[in-house]
Amino acid sequence: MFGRLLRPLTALFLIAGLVHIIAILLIPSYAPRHAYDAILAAMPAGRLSVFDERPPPIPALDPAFVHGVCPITPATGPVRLGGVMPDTFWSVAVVSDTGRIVASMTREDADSGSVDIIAGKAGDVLPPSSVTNMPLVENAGFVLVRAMLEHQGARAAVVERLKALVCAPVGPKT
Amino acid sequence: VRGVLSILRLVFIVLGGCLVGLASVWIAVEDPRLDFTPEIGPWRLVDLAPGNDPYALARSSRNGMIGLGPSEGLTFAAFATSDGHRLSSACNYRLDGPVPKDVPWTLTISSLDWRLPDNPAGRTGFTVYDTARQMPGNTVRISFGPDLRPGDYIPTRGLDDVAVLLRVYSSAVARQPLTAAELPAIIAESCEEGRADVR
Repeated sequence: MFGRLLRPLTALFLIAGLVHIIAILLIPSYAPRHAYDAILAAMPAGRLSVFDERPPPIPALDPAFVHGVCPITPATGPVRLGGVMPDTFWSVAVVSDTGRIVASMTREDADSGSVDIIAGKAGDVLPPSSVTNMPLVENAGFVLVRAMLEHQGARAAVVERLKALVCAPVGPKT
Repeated sequence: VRGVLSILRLVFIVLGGCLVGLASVWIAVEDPRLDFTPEIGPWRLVDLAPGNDPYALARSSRNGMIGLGPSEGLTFAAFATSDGHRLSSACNYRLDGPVPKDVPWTLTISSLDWRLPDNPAGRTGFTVYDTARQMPGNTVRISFGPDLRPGDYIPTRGLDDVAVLLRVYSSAVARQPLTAAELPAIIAESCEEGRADVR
């Protein structure tokens, strides 16, 4: 009896294990709520949207920060983000379409109070040496800019500074 | 007949394997007890390189949460008190102890689905800039719960459940995570009568 059950049970658990591994690996690509889909549905690609009053469509972002998002799609190709950052703690992260942060920098990493980065598929552009390169595997993701509010009275100045940043697609020959 | 039975058995094994596999995925992703990300006291490290852990990546993809990058800092999340009792929106708590020195940090109260408390003051948390710190030791004492408390206080009325997020913006902290002695404890103080026990 035990011998007759052992083989089918072993086969069942082997199949279960395979299904488990494949499903876990596929979830990041097919999860219905991941941030990239929500962002593409809510804002134009290839330019920076700054979220002042309403929060960005990404759950659990820090409410003590003002956020800006610049989506990257296959249509936009790599984007270049540049400008003077607010005089407070800030960070810039490049997030893949699966929600993984692939590169980031903060105020501590910047020599000056400015940023100049190119984010997109590696090899699509040749960034000048003065520009920080933040490569993605594919042109699918977004640049997330965060700037901390030291007090609520600083909100207008921080928002204004973020809105002055320029995020735009770069041509393939940059 | 024997051939039909063999096919039926094969179908049963394949379907059963798929069901068991998918059920185990659902449990692994949804059940917080199976979240084996490192714990430091009551705090759980949320963004410890999820790219290296397929389960962490699956979880973060499911909830859509974007944490902090390695050079941005670390997010610590607490869903229970320091003595292991699950946080409840019916109870009052005190967050007591040291916070990281000389780096920006923020503390936010939310529900388990990351909804912020809605209150006339707009108070959803505290930051390095607006909390009252006590010296020596760079410690904070922040209360949260349904009942108004003196000092730094975050109301939780309107939340169905409670999570605490402590974000530390420092690449140095991300490289060398803090110990339990360097982070505040979460202590239960009281509960609304009839809704939940303090434990």
